[in-house]
Amino acid sequence: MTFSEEKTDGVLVLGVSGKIHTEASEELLEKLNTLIDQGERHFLLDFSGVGYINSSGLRVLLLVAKKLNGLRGKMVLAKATEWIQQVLRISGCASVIGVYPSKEEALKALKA
Amino acid sequence: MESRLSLVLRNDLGELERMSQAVSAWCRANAVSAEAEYQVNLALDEIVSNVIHHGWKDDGAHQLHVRVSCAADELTLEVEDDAVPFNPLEAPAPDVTKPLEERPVGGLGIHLVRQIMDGLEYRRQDGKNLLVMKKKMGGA
Repeated sequence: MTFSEEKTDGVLVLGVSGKIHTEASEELLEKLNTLIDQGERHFLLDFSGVGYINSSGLRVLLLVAKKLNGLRGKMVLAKATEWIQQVLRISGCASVIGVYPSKEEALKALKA
Repeated sequence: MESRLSLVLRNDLGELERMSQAVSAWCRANAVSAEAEYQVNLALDEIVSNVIHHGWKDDGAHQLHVRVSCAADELTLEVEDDAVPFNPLEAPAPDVTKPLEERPVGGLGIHLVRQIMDGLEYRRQDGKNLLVMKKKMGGA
């Protein structure tokens, strides 16, 4: 799994590439926790490079979303593929973590 | 189209990647749609991970059998193991309608399997767990 980072208008845009299976989900959790420890509170996860996610990955997304909620921060996802969107929907994650087709729409939602 | 994939896995999470590659290759060779391939991989990942994590109390080497077959436009996935008796169909469903602060983070694996598979059947026989999952192909 690989990450890319950029900052846009106070939002940490984290590009995630690879499969978010059980082992990789630990890396994702560590990465997000490190960024939160560094003071980041608003995240846009660019999922265009994510080909797979399982319940371990969903668990990480929920844990981080809950943590950010407690810190008055927020996380949104953008550009997830159709299958990933389906998994986010049926797991109920999409009802608590915004999922948007583009980075622009995701950034707009974060600012709202 | 009739074809069958049969795998014997060690109780080692490192085996999940080998299973995924074998299942994907079988799906492509048998004209399974990309969507069904994802769902089949996900269902097996969730069930097999669960068995490897929780199935045996010792540190010993154990095996699981995974079989994938297709007949009459329906995929059948089987996971057979000699782990402790466990029926995933009896696992309580997480409440995925709760607000974020109260949302459970566990139990999502089996919840996903229940949602993406069209049929699930569990049997305990000859000291083994056997979970049979069915997925219809062709159409929503």
